[in-house]
Amino acid sequence: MTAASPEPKPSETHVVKKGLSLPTKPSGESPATGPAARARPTPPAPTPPPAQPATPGEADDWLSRLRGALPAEQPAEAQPPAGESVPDWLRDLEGEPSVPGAQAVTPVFDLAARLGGVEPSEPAPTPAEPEVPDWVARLGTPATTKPSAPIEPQVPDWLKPPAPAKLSAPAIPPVEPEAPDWLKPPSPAPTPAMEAEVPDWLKQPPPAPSEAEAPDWLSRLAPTPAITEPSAPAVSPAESEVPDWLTQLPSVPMAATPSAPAVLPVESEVPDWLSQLAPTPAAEEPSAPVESPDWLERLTPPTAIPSVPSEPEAVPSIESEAPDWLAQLSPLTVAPEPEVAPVAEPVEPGPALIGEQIPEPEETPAWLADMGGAQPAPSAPVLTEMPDWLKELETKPSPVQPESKAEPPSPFAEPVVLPTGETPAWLQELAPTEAAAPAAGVLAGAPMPPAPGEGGLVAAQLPSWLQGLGPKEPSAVAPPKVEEEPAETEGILAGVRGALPVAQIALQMSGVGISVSPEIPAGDLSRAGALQELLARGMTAVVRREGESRAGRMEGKVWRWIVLLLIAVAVVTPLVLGPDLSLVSAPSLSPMGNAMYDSIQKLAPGAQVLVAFDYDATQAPEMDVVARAVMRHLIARQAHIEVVSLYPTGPAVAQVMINNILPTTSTVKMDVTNRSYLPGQTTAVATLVTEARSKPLDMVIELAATPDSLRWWVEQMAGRPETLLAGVSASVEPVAQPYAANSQLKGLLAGVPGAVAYQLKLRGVLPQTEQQNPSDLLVPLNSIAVANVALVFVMIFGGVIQLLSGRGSPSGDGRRRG
Amino acid sequence: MIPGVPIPAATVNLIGTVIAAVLTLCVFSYLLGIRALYRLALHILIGAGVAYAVIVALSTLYSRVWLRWIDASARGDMGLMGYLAFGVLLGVLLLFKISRRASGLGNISTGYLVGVGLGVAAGGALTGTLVTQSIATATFTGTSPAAFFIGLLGTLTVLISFTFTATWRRGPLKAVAQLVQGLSAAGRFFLYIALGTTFAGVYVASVSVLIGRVQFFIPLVASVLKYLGIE
Repeated sequence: MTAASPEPKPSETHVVKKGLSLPTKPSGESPATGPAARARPTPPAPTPPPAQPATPGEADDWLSRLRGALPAEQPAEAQPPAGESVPDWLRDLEGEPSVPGAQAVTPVFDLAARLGGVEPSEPAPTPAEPEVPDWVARLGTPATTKPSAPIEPQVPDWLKPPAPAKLSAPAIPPVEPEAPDWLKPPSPAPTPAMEAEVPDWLKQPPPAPSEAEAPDWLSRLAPTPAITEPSAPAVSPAESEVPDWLTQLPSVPMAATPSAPAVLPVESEVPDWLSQLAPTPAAEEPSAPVESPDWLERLTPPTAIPSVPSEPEAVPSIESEAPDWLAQLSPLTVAPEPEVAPVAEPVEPGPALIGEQIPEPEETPAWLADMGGAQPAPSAPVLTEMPDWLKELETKPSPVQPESKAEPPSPFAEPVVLPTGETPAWLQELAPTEAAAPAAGVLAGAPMPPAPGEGGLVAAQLPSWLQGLGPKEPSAVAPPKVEEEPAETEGILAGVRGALPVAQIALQMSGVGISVSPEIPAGDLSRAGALQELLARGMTAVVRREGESRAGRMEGKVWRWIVLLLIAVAVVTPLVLGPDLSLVSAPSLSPMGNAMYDSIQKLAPGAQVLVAFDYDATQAPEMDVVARAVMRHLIARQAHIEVVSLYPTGPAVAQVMINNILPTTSTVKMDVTNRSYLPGQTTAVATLVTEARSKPLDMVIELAATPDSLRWWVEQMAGRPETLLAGVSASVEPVAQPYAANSQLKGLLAGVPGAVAYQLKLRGVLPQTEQQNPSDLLVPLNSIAVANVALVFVMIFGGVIQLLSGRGSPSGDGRRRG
Repeated sequence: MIPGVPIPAATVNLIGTVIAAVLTLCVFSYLLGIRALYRLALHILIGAGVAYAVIVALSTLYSRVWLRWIDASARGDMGLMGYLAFGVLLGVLLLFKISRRASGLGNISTGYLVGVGLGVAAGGALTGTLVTQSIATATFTGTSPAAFFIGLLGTLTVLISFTFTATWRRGPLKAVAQLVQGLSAAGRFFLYIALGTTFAGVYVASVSVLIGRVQFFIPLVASVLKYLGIE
């Protein structure tokens, strides 16, 4: 419904009736109807009752009762203007109301049909019900408990026949020219003129006797036949459209008055019967609770529910433009039960209906807000009667983080405090009980209904399935503690908490740490195995080239075997053949060898000679030959020999050699002293050569199988008078040559070839019995010679093959040819 | 060998010879691909050598410290006793190297050993090798001028070949770098000759060792064959 032209103020007594004409309120009462009421959007219209032919007698009865119920001192504002026809139903409402306190209402339209969005059907005959409908009965104001004096039907403007094309709400059906039968007044049949003026929608049949067809809420809201508007204005027959009061209802928010119900905007067209029904803001008394629907009450927080008169339908004051009967539907204007405590205690609503959304206070429809009168501010936490759920929505922030897992604030967390007032029975049934409020947790079983005096409402016995849907007590079912998840610190999700907790989810899913087992390439595995093998076996491990095939490895093995066999044959054959194989001639002693020979030869008998056996058992096969030659010469010279060693196993090797240097039959005396092992290496040499001796050393002979020991002696013997001679291995000879060339070494004997040559030269010094056959001395040289030739042959042959094939070179990379 | 059990020397030598022959064959098995026997022989060699070294060390400690301590104490030679005590103390501290926590105490002995050894070695190297060899190279005359020139060229180029910082590629230093690189190449040539000579000596030494082992087996094999009746 949209507000149309501004309505005259309620102070005006002259009420222009348009369309529906409801009983006007008594004097002093603010009209509950008016532009605001007219502008109020029409609620969803229930299914209209079926059009039933109303018997004239029945219709007349309840209408007459309605007329009687209307107070006599209904202001004249309800009087229809001259020339306007009062609808029959409205006229009837001016009669004596059958229910005390009820006011006569002039039924001039089929409210059920209008609200149901159904065009009013043919004027239905008046219902056969003799009694006035409840909604009609409740339309009477508490103050209007007056003898039902016949009231002049004064059709207010808003009750007048609707003006052409003023429909703003789809729920408001077009006004029909014919008035319903049930609204037709029982008393004298309407004049033709009046009938002509009665809009169709006013001529709709009254509510059907069968309550099953009409919605319950409507049936309960239907006024009693006895309720009549004292000054129900006549319905203008000329108007057949939506009543002005419906169309002109503005969406004006109702002022919150804790002590007054939601008042409707003042309107001059408010019928008297309606104004009479509406309780004054100051004169309202506690009355029976209005049977307003629960859903209506929950839509708007109940402000201080005023004390509504005892009439079940306390019409709101004339201050608002909404009709009183509609204002009674608002939870803000629900009048408390007579036996209920003052209106300040709103009744907590029960669990919300399934699927029903409890809107915010600001979401209250305008028409309802207008009806309800005082609409609480969106943030009106101070209202004691405000339902808890509404308070939570308005004031309290969300108790948990947005990403928490806590339950969202349920609109059913707190029971909705229903305002006290006359609520229909069916609403009372749905009202929640205080004891079974959702704050108690999940409703299990049938909740205990509160005492009737508590909150003015009686909680209905909700079925178990409905109870389970109720709001839960926050304390009973505390939301799970949600640990604040870490917030992301970088990226596009910076500041967002709980974003992509992959690690947590993975851990929760697996329950253990994340195990990572990457795929290792086969090449890496092979290289790792080769490295491991190399470390395990040391330098003797065979290192394979990368990319070497099996055939390549076999080829390498074959060549290695060939070389091995060749060298083995070369070495073993001369040894097996013995001295008969004369491959080499007697070698000549090198100059350094001759110098050594001469140095020893110059020794006087008893000369102090220090001989250092600096080799171990692994070099003994070669070094023993050298050592034997030197030692034999020293023995022949009858020198005092001191045997030392810088190696731990040196003394043992020396002793073995000393034990086997002379034949068992030799009569030569040997003055040899084994001083054993000298630790310290280079420091031992320095200590040895500088120690105090009874007899100074004449000569030092170093028998070295490694360059280090030779270097130690050479370096420590630098500048000393002792003669330093060295018998070295063939591998040490290149290192010893510079020292020999620099005269740091007075003599040098290197390897088996030098030792053999030295022995051949020593044969002249030794006794005859100890002189060996020179051919026997040459046998090792034959093996060495043959082995050298074989090595040379292998090297040359292998080099040629390598050059021709390109393998083994840095650029070859194992390529094969042919 | 065994107290109270007279064993002829020949028998002992024979047993020793047999054991040596077996171990020698175990080493030769490496050529046949039998690594296990080779490793066995190698482990025995290392184990025996370490054991002998431990015994020698204990024997040395006994003879060179304990006996001298007793002799010094008998003679009242406090200086010698102090000297010996200081050595013993360093040896005891060196044993703490075994423990991870107390290894710091062994650092005293290690430092003493390293310090003394480095000092002696450095002095000897300086006076015994570096200076004398340098003087000898500089005053080398040889038998002919060619020998002298080759010797000098070889010495200088080998020393220059160990220069790795002459890598300039631009400017006037580029020519210097190229000269250095050329001389380095010549020095590497002389190095190759020296390394080859060393290799030859190692080869001869190895063959000599092989000859010695073969000469050890020949009489043994002959004895076995003679024992078996095979001439």
